[in-house]
Amino acid sequence: MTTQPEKTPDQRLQEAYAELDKTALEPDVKIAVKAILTIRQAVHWATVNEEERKGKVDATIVKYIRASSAQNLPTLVDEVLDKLPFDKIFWRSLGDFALAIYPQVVADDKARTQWERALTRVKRETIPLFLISKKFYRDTYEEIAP
Amino acid sequence: MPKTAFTFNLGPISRTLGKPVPDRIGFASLPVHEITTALLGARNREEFFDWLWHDAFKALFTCSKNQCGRTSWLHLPKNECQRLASAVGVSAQRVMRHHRRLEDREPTDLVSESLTVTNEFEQLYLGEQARFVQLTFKCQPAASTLVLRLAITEAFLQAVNKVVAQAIVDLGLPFTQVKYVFQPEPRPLTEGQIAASYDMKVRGSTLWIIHRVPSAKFEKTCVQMDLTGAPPGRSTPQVIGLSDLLTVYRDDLTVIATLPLFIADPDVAVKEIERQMLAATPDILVQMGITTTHKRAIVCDLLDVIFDEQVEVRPVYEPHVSNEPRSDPQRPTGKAIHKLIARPHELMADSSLISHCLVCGSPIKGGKGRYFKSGKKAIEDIFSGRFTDLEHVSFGDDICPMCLVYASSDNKKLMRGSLAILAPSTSLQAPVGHCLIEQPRFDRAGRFDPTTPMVKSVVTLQEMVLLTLLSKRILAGLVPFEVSQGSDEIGNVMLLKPVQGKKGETENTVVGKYLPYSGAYCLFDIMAVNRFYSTAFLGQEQEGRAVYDVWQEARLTAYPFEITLSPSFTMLLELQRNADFQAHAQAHTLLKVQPTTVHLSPNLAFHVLVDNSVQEIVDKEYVDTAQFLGGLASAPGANRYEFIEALLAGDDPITAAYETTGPPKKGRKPAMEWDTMKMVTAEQISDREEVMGQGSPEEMWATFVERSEKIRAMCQAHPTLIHFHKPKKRGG
Repeated sequence: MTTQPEKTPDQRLQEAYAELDKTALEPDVKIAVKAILTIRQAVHWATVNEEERKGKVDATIVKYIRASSAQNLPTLVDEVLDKLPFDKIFWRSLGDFALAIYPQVVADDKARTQWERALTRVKRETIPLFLISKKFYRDTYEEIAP
Repeated sequence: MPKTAFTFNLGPISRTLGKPVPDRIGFASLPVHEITTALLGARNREEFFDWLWHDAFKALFTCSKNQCGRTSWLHLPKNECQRLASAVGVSAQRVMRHHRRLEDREPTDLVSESLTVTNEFEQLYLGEQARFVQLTFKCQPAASTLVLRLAITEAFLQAVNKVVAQAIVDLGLPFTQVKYVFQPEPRPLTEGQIAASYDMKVRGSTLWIIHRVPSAKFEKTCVQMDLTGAPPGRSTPQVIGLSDLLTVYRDDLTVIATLPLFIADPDVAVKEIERQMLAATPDILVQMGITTTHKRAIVCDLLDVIFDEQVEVRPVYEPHVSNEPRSDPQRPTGKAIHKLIARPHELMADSSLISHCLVCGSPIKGGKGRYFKSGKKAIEDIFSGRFTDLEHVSFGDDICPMCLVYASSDNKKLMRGSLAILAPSTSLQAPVGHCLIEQPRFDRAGRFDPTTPMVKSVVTLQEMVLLTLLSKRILAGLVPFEVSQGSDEIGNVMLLKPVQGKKGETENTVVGKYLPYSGAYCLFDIMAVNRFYSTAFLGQEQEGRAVYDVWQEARLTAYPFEITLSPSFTMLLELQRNADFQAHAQAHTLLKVQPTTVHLSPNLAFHVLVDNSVQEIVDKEYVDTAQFLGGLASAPGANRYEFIEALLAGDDPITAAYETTGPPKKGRKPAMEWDTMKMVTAEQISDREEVMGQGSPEEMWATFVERSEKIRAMCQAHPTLIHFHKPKKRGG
């Protein structure tokens, strides 16, 4: 499914999240995919040239995720966005979507465990998760349209 | 990948066994039975002729019950027997009477089969009147002496073959080949009509015996027996050579060969065999590049000492070897097979052998001062000052002459280094499976009734002959190289190899030796050894040849049965995948391995020395894992070795592909940047069904998790797999 190009990045991310939430993936996998989606939705595709769209942007994001030594997901997302070229991303507040990558209730052991597992997955299984996340983008987001 | 099945068809069965109801199959075919009885039981020219066709009409499969209710396999139609005999100018009388009981027998009758070919209804004895000659090695079946033992075995079989071939020539037969032809007869003819179409004739140097099998399911089969004594050919599986027929039993330490009754003086023949063997061995060793000297040896040539003290050739017949009474006193006595097979151990149990060889552990009279001059440090004198494999030798001052040959610094090529040594063997892994193709048309007694199936198969003398020759044919299928063979000389195993220093050029190179009479192969070239391993165990195709592998049972068609069985061969396999080549050539790697008896089977497992230090158990699961990882690692862009190393370290395949994608080659303008290439490679490998595949995100993720775990478990089970994928070092 291709969405209308006039949708804002936030709308596109909202759609991707909605699609993801409909799946039966494990909660920690969902959180991990959301973290990657959050990074990827920040890319300002209009400024990315054709060559870079073939894989360089994804490769760069993967490289920065794997290089990060962040201790939690929000820091990791922040670090990666910080390293990406400022002219190629929308540099703005992440809004409510960022909440998805925080533990919902700090006192809730179950939520915290899921969140910690998600962080581990993002670091160890970056590329498989990245490939899964692209599945949602392909369904909800037209990358080549600015 | 297409793999070829080992299938054999040497004609219909010749016997069923068991009383009062025959419930066991003798799976050796009729031609094998007839030629074996001729070689074992014939006392002269006429009897030799008789035995060659005595059961010809069994191929009609006429079974009926006699007046006492006992089942008989009728196969001596009087008129037809006389017709066949007169066609070739011989008498039919002896053949007609070959089943008569003793009290009826006239002096001209044939020796009863139960006294020659048969341990008929037991599997424990060789025939009472049959004669054999036995070669025995008085040593342990160690790897260090294997090549030397094979050379001596070749000389022995060559000598037996020549002596018997000469005796056959002396019989004055009008033929040197016997061709058994079995044709299907699907028409609804009577037994008499079909029997009338049987034929026997001598044309040129060949005796033709033509049978018709009353069946539409039977396939035409032709088996030729070559009595000239020429070395058996590798590429003619339906032609059976004399040396194949004479080899009754064979293992690592002993060979039992037939000595026909028509040899007038067997004692003289055994002495002649021994003489010829002693004469032939040095030539064979020279051709194999093995010297039988050692710089510290007291005698110039160790071969004489080896023959004196570690090799025995003995006659196996009365009065040299007594026949033993069987449990049933009504049955003839015989030579207990287990005692013949145990002969090496009987010899080694000699109480005068007070010492043990420090290399192979064989009992010996004492080595230091007897075979070699030694100073204070025996091991340094035997090997060299650089010898470091001390953990593989025992402490002591003694070494047997055979191991002294192994230790000689002149024998580096064939006695150590990268080796594949393969030799036929008689052993068979139970059980033998069988199914009935059909009930033969004239089986009125229900002997082959599908509702009362035969319970098992038996291995008698003729089955042992068959198993050894099947073993040779299996090896010929597994070894994927051409052999250039002279008449009597040992063959050269050839491989097309790149010429060093000339890019793109290849030349035919000698990579091993083939011993034609014993059917053994000695490969000593690293490329050849690795190629053999890839073909026989990994099932990789080689230049369009049929690919045989060991993970299957052999199928033997022996009408009316289809039989599955696991014949065997002896193998010593030492790969040199990850070794320092110079160090490996010096290393005494044969001290670290043992020859293995490999039975064709999906459940086979054996040890392989991967390099100087690593040994691995190879089984089907190991090979499947190696193939699976090799297939994954073939992703374009990924470094094969580093990819598998990453998997073994615990990475999932997608991450491993990403991490091990190499940089673009220097000097070429890359189509994309390295980082992008890595992502593309990872994405490509993720598309594969065995990694992540396609589908919904849940399906893809579930597949990825499951397959990654499986791959991780496979890698953890076989950490040595990496040695099979290491980059080649210089000199390889």
